[in-house]
Amino acid sequence: MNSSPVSTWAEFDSRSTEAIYTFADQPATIHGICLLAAVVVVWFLVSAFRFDGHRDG
Amino acid sequence: MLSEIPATNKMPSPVVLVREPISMVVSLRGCPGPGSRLTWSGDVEGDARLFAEKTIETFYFWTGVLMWLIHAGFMIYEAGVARQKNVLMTMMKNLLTCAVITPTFFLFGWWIYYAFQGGVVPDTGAAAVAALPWSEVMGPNLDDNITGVFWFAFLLFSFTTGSIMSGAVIERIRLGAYLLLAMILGSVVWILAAAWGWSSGAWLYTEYGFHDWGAGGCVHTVAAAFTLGVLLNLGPRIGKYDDQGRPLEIPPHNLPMTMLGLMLIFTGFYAFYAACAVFQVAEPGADPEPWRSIYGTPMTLGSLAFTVTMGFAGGAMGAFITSKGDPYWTISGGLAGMISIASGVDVYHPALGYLIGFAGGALAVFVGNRLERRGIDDAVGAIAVHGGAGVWSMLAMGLFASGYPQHEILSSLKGQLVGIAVMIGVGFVPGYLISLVLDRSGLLRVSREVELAGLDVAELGIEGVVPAGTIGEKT
Repeated sequence: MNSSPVSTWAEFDSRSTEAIYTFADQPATIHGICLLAAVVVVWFLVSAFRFDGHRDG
Repeated sequence: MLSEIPATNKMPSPVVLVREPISMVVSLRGCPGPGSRLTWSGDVEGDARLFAEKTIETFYFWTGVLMWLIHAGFMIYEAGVARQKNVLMTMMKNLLTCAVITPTFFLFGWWIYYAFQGGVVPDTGAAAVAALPWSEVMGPNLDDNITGVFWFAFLLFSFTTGSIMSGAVIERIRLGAYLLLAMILGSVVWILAAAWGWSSGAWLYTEYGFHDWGAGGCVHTVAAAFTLGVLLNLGPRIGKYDDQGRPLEIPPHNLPMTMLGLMLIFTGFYAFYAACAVFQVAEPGADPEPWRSIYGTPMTLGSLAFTVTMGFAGGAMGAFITSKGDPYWTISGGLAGMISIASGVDVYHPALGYLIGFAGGALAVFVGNRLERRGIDDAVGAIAVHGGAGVWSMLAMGLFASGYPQHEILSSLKGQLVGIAVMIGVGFVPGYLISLVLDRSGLLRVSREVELAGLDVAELGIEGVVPAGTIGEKT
């Protein structure tokens, strides 16, 4: 999937280019990725309770 | 104003960076040209450049020093996994890995990196000639601040490949066979893969746009594939499988020791990644140079502070869940997470890095269990962690970070798939074939009696772990 906020080498190597991270030009996608990461953290915390003393959980 | 003094050394530094256009070679030293040298002239610009050069030299020197923590970590980690009767031999292998790779990497490994970037035909250009062990820059040279420290950093990468294999083969491989394999992996195989996929002139980069910022391919995947080839010939430890071929648990003799070892590896990996970033001085009058990847693409050192740490966190969490809270796999998952983000550290958004690391940690547990059920006795899960996460690293770059300009070509899923195939092949084929020859010659594995007695007493004549208060005869 094309996630680059720059499309040419000149643009990529320019001193005026700032954010170069994936989807930097797609704020909604970044919001979605951050939300998904938060969901995974919650999943992990729930799992930590399940496995705490209950390896068969 | 810079002072130029004609130097006696007319050979260019072997450390070169190819930038747009591809054929244009720029010395990392940023000097006006090969054979000239900067002096302390008293003018602000010249003195600043001299200071910058010394800073570069210092930076790479200390990345190499800190990378030794990886090998202290591997030693402790693997010794913790081994049974008490094999602890000392396990640590001896880690120690001698570093010893045997150092001179061979000096004698031919460094040259391989510069001679084979275009493919299988060795280049005879200036950079390759300057990397020969008798070159003027392959030793103390007042005109070259960078070759020694760059060689040192690459040497520590080489140690890492050997150390990845060392844990998988413990408790039954012959020391000589292991050291021969480690030397071939560390001084030939991985550095050839690096020339092809992890250098400024790498054909995988220039022709396919392959992007592997932190060496998830040439270090982790190549070492894991080589190890898989060796394990197929070496076979499992006695007692690992029951009569029906079902895997049995051989628990680590000291799991806390293993976990401490991995914490040291995590620490050292920051230096490993820092050494993957290219720090150079701008040409006089030019804009300040950004940090660059080994390919010459711009980046920041902060990207690895963000993404490597987020990858670690994701990996540990992912492995925790899929292993149902197993301590060994949870901490191994942290390493798998740090490897999973390797190929795209320079461009990933940190939250994306976290998710990729999470998937990598979960994947490592799955791969480890699958290999075990198929009769592959990898004592430390090296193939799962380094191979599974290494391949995932390159694939994730294609899935989530396509479209980045790589000079004249874009990063793409196709380029990453080609890179994955090449890295697996370059690692697996020599590992399998050389270990096959050793096996057929009776040189690969210790005898059944030695394996049952334990390698420490049978081969070293000493117990590595002795109960407190034990008194024996002096030998």
